Amino acid sequence: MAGRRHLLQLEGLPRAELERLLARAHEYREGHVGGRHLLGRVVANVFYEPSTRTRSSFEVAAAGLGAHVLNWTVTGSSASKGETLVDTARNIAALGVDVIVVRHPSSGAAALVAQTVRCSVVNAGDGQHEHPSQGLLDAYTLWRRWKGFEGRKVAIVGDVLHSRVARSNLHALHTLGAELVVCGPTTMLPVGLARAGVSVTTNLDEALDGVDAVMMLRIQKERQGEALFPSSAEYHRRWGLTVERAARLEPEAVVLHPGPVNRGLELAPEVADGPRSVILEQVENGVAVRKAALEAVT
Amino acid sequence: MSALVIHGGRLVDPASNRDGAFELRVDDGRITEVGVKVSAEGAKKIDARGAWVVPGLVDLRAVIQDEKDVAQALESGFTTVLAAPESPLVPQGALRLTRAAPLTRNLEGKELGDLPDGALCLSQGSKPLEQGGVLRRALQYLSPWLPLVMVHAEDPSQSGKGLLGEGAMATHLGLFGVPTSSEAAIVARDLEILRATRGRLHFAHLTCARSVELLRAAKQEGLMVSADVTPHHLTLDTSTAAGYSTEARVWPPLREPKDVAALRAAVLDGTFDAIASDHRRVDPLEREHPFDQCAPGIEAYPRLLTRVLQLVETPLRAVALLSFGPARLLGLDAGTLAPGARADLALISPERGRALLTLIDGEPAFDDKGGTW
Repeated sequence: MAGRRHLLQLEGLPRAELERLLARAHEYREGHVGGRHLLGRVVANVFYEPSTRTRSSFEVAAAGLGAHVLNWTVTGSSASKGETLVDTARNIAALGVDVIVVRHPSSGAAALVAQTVRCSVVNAGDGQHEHPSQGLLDAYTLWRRWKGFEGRKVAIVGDVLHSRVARSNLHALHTLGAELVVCGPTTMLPVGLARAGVSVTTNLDEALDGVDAVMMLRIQKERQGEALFPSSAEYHRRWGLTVERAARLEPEAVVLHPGPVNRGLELAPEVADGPRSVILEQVENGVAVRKAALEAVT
Repeated sequence: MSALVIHGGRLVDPASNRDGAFELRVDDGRITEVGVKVSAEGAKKIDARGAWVVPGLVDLRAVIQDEKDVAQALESGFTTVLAAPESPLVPQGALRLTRAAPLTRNLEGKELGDLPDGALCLSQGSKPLEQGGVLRRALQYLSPWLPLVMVHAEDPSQSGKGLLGEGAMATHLGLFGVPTSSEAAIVARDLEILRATRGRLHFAHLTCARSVELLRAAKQEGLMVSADVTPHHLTLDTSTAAGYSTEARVWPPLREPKDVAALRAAVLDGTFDAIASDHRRVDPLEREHPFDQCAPGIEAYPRLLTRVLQLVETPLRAVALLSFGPARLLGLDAGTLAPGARADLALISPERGRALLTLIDGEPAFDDKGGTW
């Protein structure tokens, strides 16, 4: 493969490329390949935001492929010493790292790192922009059941404004041919979401009508000071997936959530732990998908 | 002091509504004669063929941090710059550089700033004025003198963590959008305060269609109101931010194309009184951060003339917006090539979008040819 490769966003990734990644993830998931394709390579996890889940998932995936994993923790000390993101990235690359997996609170941070270094870069979440490996694992979780997205309808519900997961999901599922409906309070729906195949509504019952899957987004409690909705109780009542709403879904419909779940806020505990929930399966699939992603960029 | 005759150029002087092949004579730092043919006796001759001879440009707002900014201003034909109140005090060289007095103490928007004797402008820089009551008291207090009171229209409770004009591009990039109501709501509020106090008010760097409509209506009503716009808000829109280009990291934010179209129309129909550079050079190290952590600012001077001339095709109008207009707002004896005026003028090349020669008091402050005219 000529030149370095990155996984910065799912936007713009052609359908064939997405399908190839899903198929490769499936091979890893089903144990059809055990390959230590990254033997002798170094993968650096560079996390500017605490995220045990995503970091661990990348670590298990990289280790499973035989790579050496370097966890570069950024506690804010480098930042407080005045080191720029570009500086830090150059320093990490200078260690001879093959892949930088970066998580950062700023949109565009992964792209900035990719412009700076000569190694490959995988975006593990940048601000409110994208979280491509999460988008891929969500798509894979559905693909594994459905084997395709034609005629499938998926609802994405909650705080789209702050959600990088929602953007990656929208791009991937749209490209793969699913019909999408986005739902949440108007304060959490940024302008310009609607397009062919993507509708927007504030009415959850309308959004859930006839869907094959519901992706519930996490409400970031620390952002509630911005008062994007009146109260947790009201949010749950209007935009939460309650037991009653879950009961009205199509028989085969599934419920996804990127975790960690705020039980009783966006998701009733009975639904999170109920038969429609594929939340733990998402975590399992995450490792296989990240193996496919790391392999694809090296 | 020497005498000069500038000939062969296209003289563009909005103050006298002259645009054509006129010659100009300077004696002892003042313009003494303008005409089809002027007396060349005892004067050094400057051949201005291919250039426009314009009054020295006047900038209503820039952050001038060092000699490089001063040089860039002179190279673009500016002879007078009113630095923003946040600007440091730097050696001004030949440039006429003064700093606007802060409208409120430390620009905090709470207490009125001191009114220095002879102050031409009190400015809130790029800081919002959250409390309308403060503006009301400022306009009341200043009404005997009527200096230019320059405000930045922004409601921070609406702009929040915003970085780019609200719209599909901001959503797409995951950058928080700044709604146009963040600006227009304050323009509306401030115009009501202006009407009530009968003061004088100037809006800095307006960016959206609704603000322009409010401004136009207030002018028709006869309020003492004026406004400027920047070259980048006239020529760039939110699409500039694609790929997180830090060219789009400016404040106030870049807007959607429909707002840019309204700004352009307002420049052409005379609703805007001036174009101000909002020049603020940002250290390249400051561009090694993600978009939201980069300091806002744009190195405006080098591309200013190109941007303005590409948009405003009438030379008289373009030069008025950059010299006569802002000079009049500040009450300065500048922005004119009338006999008797100080010989602050520039020879600019419209093709190259820069000055070839900038004179202040008839002396070269910038000379592209190093004195070989």
